[in-house]
Amino acid sequence: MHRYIVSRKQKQSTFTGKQQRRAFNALPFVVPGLFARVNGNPPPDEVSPGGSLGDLHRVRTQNATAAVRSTPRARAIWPAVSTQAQGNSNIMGQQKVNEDGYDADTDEDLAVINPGFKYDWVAYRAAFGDTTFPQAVSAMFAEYALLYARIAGEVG
Amino acid sequence: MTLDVGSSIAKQATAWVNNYVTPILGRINSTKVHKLLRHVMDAINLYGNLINGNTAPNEALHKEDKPYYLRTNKNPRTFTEQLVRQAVGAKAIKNQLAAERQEWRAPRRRGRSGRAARRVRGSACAAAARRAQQGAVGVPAAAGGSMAPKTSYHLQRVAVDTLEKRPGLAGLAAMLGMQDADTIPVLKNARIDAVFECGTDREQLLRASPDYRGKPWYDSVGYQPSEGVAEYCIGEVRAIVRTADGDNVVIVEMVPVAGEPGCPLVQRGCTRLRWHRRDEEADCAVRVVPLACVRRLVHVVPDFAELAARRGFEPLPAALGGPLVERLAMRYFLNVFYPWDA
Repeated sequence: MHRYIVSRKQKQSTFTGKQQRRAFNALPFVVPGLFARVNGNPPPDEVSPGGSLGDLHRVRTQNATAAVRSTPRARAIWPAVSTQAQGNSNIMGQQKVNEDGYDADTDEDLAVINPGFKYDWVAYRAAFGDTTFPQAVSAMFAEYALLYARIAGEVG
Repeated sequence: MTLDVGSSIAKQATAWVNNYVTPILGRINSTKVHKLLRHVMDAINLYGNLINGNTAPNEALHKEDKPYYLRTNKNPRTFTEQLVRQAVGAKAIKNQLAAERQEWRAPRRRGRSGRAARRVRGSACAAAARRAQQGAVGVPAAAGGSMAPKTSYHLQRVAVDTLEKRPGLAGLAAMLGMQDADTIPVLKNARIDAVFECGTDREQLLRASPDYRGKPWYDSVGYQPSEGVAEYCIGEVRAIVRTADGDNVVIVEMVPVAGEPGCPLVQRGCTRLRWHRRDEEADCAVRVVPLACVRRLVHVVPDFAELAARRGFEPLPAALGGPLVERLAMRYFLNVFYPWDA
């Protein structure tokens, strides 16, 4: 990712148009690697479809807690200007809580919200059956890459 | 893009939102998702193909009109009309002159095939061009092969033992039938006429250099193992050398391997690959094939899920010159989503 799409020095939350064009074909290959981190790197043959869904919900909560613990280290690498911006967003978050249904402007807020988060597994199972969550998300990105390639009229 | 194709794309976009995005991420009330769900066909009707989602070609057209601003009187109320009138008139004259020039040049032009045939004897583009030329003028195929080999004065000659230091090329001298102290002309890159699965052909730059702006750059290619074989293989080009027979590429071979059950990438045509090693060899398999056998560049991506499952999240994919065990354990995917016209 860093080599082809976004340099390490760039701090941004979304792709630019050019980065989007360059990255869409790589995302389906990056996503499985990211999920390997979420799942705690289990051997591929030990992942059962039902088990992985339950595990994912548990790991998600664990990750939220881990994010809080790692916050000081994460903040230390951000430049001063980012800290300033984050401080402003805190103030705004206090003033406009739940205005648009999103009030997790800090890592602490994120940790508070995530444990109560209810994922709609019924809709998921209805669409994907026993397919593991990482495979379903990878399929979503792969389908997006195919769709984008058709929309943009590309070769290959 | 026809309306049928546009309608098909609109249905695919709707299906993607309904079948993938909503079950996984829940209902999303955003304009971007709504456009994909309902208004793709409208956008295609209005704007046609999106040309790689890139506005640069259209924006570049402004440059053609800008110089004519100096010919207006800069009056904010009327300068647009003046500018357009000047620009359109000038373009009409330019087009007329270009058409006359084209008409004058047409009988004198040798054509792309004529130029390409003299580039490099034995290269893929030269061979294709020669075939086209021979087909056009009725020259027998043997005539092309009887030309004297081109001497490469401008190419850097590299000792074979130096070339053998490139990753995976330890036994290159024996493969080429040369001694270690012998020298051979080596190219850093070569142009090929790539042929895609859909029949499209376009020129590509094949690069195999140990030092391109400070880092090695070895392209992956799809190639015919030998002439006349219909099947294509995947490999990484580690050197491009010129011999008396023409240009040859030294390729480290990759072979297909079974994907994980239910892998969405394999289901969509991304072949899973690994480095090939023959039983009697100490390193990964290497093959020397004529440049004409290279079909096109391909994009090969490491299997990050397998890498993370085996070694954790932080380790990088095995380096080109890394331990053989690590390289053989690596798995890769052929990236079928890569846009070759971007």
